Amino acid sequence: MSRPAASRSTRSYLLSPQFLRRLEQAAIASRRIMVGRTKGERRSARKGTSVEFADFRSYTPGDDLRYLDWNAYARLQRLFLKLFMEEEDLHVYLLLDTSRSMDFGSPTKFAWSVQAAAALAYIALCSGDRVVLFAHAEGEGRNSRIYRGQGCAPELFEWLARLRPEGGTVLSGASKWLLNTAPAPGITFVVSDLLSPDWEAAISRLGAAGGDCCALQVFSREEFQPTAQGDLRLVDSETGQAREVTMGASVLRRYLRERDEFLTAVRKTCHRYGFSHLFVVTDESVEDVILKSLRRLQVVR
Amino acid sequence: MLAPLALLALLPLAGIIILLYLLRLRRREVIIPSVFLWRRAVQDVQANAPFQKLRRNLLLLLQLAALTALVAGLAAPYVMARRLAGRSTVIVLDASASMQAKDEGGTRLEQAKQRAAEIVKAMGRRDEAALVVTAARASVALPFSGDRRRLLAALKAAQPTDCPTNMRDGLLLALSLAGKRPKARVYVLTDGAFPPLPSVASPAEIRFLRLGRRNDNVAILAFEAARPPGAKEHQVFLRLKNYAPQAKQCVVSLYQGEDLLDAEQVELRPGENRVETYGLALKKAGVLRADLEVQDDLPADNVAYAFAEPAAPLSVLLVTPGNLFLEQALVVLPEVKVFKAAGLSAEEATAAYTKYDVLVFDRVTPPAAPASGAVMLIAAEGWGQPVTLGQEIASPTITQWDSQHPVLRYVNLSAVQIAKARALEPAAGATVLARAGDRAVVVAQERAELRALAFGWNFLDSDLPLRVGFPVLLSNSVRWLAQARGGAKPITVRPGALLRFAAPAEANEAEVTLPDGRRRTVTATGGQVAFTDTNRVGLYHMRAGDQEWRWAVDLRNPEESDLSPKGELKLGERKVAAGTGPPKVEQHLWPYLALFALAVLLGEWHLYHRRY
Repeated sequence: MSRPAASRSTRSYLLSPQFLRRLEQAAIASRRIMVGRTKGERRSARKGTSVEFADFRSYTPGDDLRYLDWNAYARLQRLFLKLFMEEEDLHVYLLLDTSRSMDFGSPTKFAWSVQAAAALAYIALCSGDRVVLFAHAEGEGRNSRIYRGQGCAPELFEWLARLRPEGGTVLSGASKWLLNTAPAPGITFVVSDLLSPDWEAAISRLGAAGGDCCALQVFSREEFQPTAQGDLRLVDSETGQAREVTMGASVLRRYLRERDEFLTAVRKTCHRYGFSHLFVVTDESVEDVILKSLRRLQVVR
Repeated sequence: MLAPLALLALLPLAGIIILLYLLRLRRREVIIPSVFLWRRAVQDVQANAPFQKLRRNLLLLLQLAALTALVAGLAAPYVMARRLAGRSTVIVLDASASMQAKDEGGTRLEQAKQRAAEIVKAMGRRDEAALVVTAARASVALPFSGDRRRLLAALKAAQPTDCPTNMRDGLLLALSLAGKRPKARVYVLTDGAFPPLPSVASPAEIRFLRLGRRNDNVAILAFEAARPPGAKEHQVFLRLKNYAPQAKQCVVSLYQGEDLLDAEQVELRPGENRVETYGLALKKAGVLRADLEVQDDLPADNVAYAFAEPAAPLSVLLVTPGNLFLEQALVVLPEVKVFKAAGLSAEEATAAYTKYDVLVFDRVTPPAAPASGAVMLIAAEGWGQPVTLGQEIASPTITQWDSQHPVLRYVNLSAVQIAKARALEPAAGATVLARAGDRAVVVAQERAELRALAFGWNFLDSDLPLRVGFPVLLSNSVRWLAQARGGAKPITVRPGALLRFAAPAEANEAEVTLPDGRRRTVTATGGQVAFTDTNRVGLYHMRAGDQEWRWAVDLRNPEESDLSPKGELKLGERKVAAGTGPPKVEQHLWPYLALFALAVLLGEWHLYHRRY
C-alpha cells in the first residue's frame, strides 16, 4: 500500500487506442426512459417526431394537422392525432470518489476508477450522450462542464487526469450535490469503495431522485483479502482513527465475514432501487470490467 | 524465610519483564484506506475494551505473578508444621476403664483419639504409622500403613472398655512392631493409670502423651460376701475410696437381684479409704450388687458384684508327709472340713478326686491323673499337667504376681522369704500367677471340671506360713479350686478376663447375653466354651444346651480408679516425661511455589493463545 505515482496526464496512457476502438461500438444502456435535453438516439419520455408510432390522442384545435390520422377520420368521422416516440440524448453522470481512501492498492483504486470513468464517459460520448463528471471528496466537489460528442473526449480525459486523491469520503453529501447540480435526470455511475458509514444514505438519495444508477464498488486486493500479520495498529488514511488489531485466524475470519456482509448489504440496497451493482477488485483489468462484467449486467451493450 | 536476599532479584527481573512488555506493546502501524470494516470486525472485541485492556495487562500480571512465585521460592520460605519427618510411628492407644473418665473436653479416650488423629494428620508422604489398642489385652488395630484414611478409621473404631490397662503388653507389642525400623517412634496415649512398667530396651523412641487433667472419682475397691460358720447372716464387706481432692457425698445401695437390701449415705473425705461392713440376712444365695450413687467422672467403678455362697462345708483331703502349718491353716478355714492322708494308691486317688472337693498334695506326687476335680500341688510334680518341676532356685524373691487372680487377691508375696524353690515349667494352657525373676513359681490351670494350682516351693522352706497373707492365700486357693465343679455357680471376674466353661457334649455353640442386652454367639470347641468379651461391667448370662452360667464383671482396680494425672511414665528405672505431639519442623514451601508458577505460566500461555 504505497503512495501511487502521480496521475498520468496523457490521454493515450489513460486508455489504450485499441480499447478506445472497442469502446466506440458500445453504448450505455439505461433501464429507465428519461427526458433528455436535445435530439438524440435514445427513446425519450417525451412524445415527439421519430418514425416510431407511440399513441393516439383526440385532436384539439391548434394541433399540427400533419399528424392527423386521416384513415381513422375516414372510418370513424373523428379526428385523431398520431403521437410518435421522441428520441433524445441521455445524461450520463460519473460520480468519482477522489478521497484518500482510493489511493491504495496496486494499481490504486483511484487510478483504476479514473480509467473506468474515462472508458464509461467515452462510451457515452460516442453514442451522443451528455456526460458530466463529478469528482467528490470531503470539503470540495468539482464537476466538469457537460460534454457531448466524441470530439470532447480529449478535454474530458484531460479533466480526469488533473484529479488528485485527497480528503475524506462524504458519499451522502456528494450524491446530494450531484442531484442539485445535474441538469436533468440521467444515469449515474458511482465509482467508489463506498467505505463510509453514509453509503446507504447516498444510494437511497439517488434512488429517491428517480434516475438510474450503477454502483461500481472498487476494492484493492489487500482490502479484499488482508495479508498483514502480527500486532498491528491500523490507521485510517482519511480520519486518522486507529484500531489495534492482532492479526490472526479469528480476527481475519471476523473481517472477511464483515466484508461479505457489507458487500451483500450494498448489493441489496442497490437492487432495492433497481440499480446495478458491480464489485471490482483493482487487479481486474478495466477493459474486462467495462466490456464484459458491465455488459453482463446490461449496463453497457 | 531462609534466604530473604533472594527477594531482591525480583526487582531487576520484574523490570526486565515490564520492559519487554512495553517493547512488545509497540504495534506496527499500518495505514489502511478505511477502518470502516475493521471497526466492525473488531467491534465485538472492542466492545469490552476495559476487559481487553485488563486481559492485555493480565498477561503481564500473570508473568509477574509467576516470577514472584519463583523468586519467593528462591527465598526458601517455610512454615513450622507438625511433621513426623519420615518416621515409622506406632500409636499406642489406652482404651482401659480409666480412659472412659469424663474430663475437661470430653472423655479421656476421645481426647486421646483426637491427639492420635493429629499425629496421623501430621504424617508426611513417606511416613507410616501403626495403631495398637490396649486394654486388658493389647492388639494391633492397624499394622504399619501410610493410608491416613485407614488409620483414622481404625482410630475411630477403637471402643472404650471397662478393662484394666495392660500397658506392658501394649508397649511390648508396639516396640516389636517398631522393631528395627529406623527413626521409629512410639507414642503412648494414656492417662498413666496402670502399675509401673518393666524397663524395655528398644531402639525406638518412646513418647508419652498424657491424657487427663482432673481426678474426681469415688470407687468401690472391694466387695465380698461371706457367711461365717454357724452364723445366720452374711457378712458383706465393702471398701470405698475417694480419689477426689474434695469430700464426696454418695449413697451406697446393696441389691440382690431387684431387691434393695440396704442403702446408706456416706460422706468421704478427700482421699479417704472407707470400709463398710453389713450383716445381711439373705434368704437365698446369689449375686449381690453394690451400687454407688455419686457424681464422679468414672461410672465403671461405681458398681461391684459379690456372690453370697450357700453354706455347705468344703471337703479337703490333705496328702502330706506332715505339715502342721498347712494343716492348721486349713482347719481354721470356715466351712472347710479337712481330711488327712499320708499317701494314696492310684485307685484311692482316682476315687478321691471325685469324693473330695479339693486335694492338696504336699510334696507328694499324685499317683494318678485326675479327670475332674481340684488339685493343689505344693512342691510336687504334676502328672504332666499342670507343671513339671524344673531346676532348683536358691533363695528366690517373688518379683511379680497377678494380684487380680482370685487366688492371689489380697495377698502380698513381695516380702516372702524362700530358702529354695523349684522352677515350674507350666504345661500348655496353664497360667503363671507368680514369678521369681523370669521363672514361674506359682501356676494355675483351669480346664473343664478341673482346676489345678501349683506352688514351686515347700511352704516349710519359707516364712510364708508365718505371714498374715497365708490363711488368705489358702482360703482363696481352696475357694477357687472348689469352683472346679461348680461351673454353674455365679462368679465375679475382672473386666477383660478370659472365661472357660465346660460345655455339654451336644452343644456346639453358646449364646451369651451381654450386660447391655446384646447377644453374642460363641462356638464351643473341644467341650469348652471360651469367652473373652468381658470388657464391660455388669451381669453376663450364657446358655449352652440346657446348661446356664452367670457371671458378673466389675472393675475393683485401684490403679484404674485413681484418675490423678500422671506426670511421667515409668519404664523400670527410666522415666518418660509427658510430652507433646509430633514436633514442629520446617516445611519448605518452594515446591508449592514452583508448582504455582508453572500453573500461572500455563494459564498465561493459554490466555495468550486464545487471543489469536
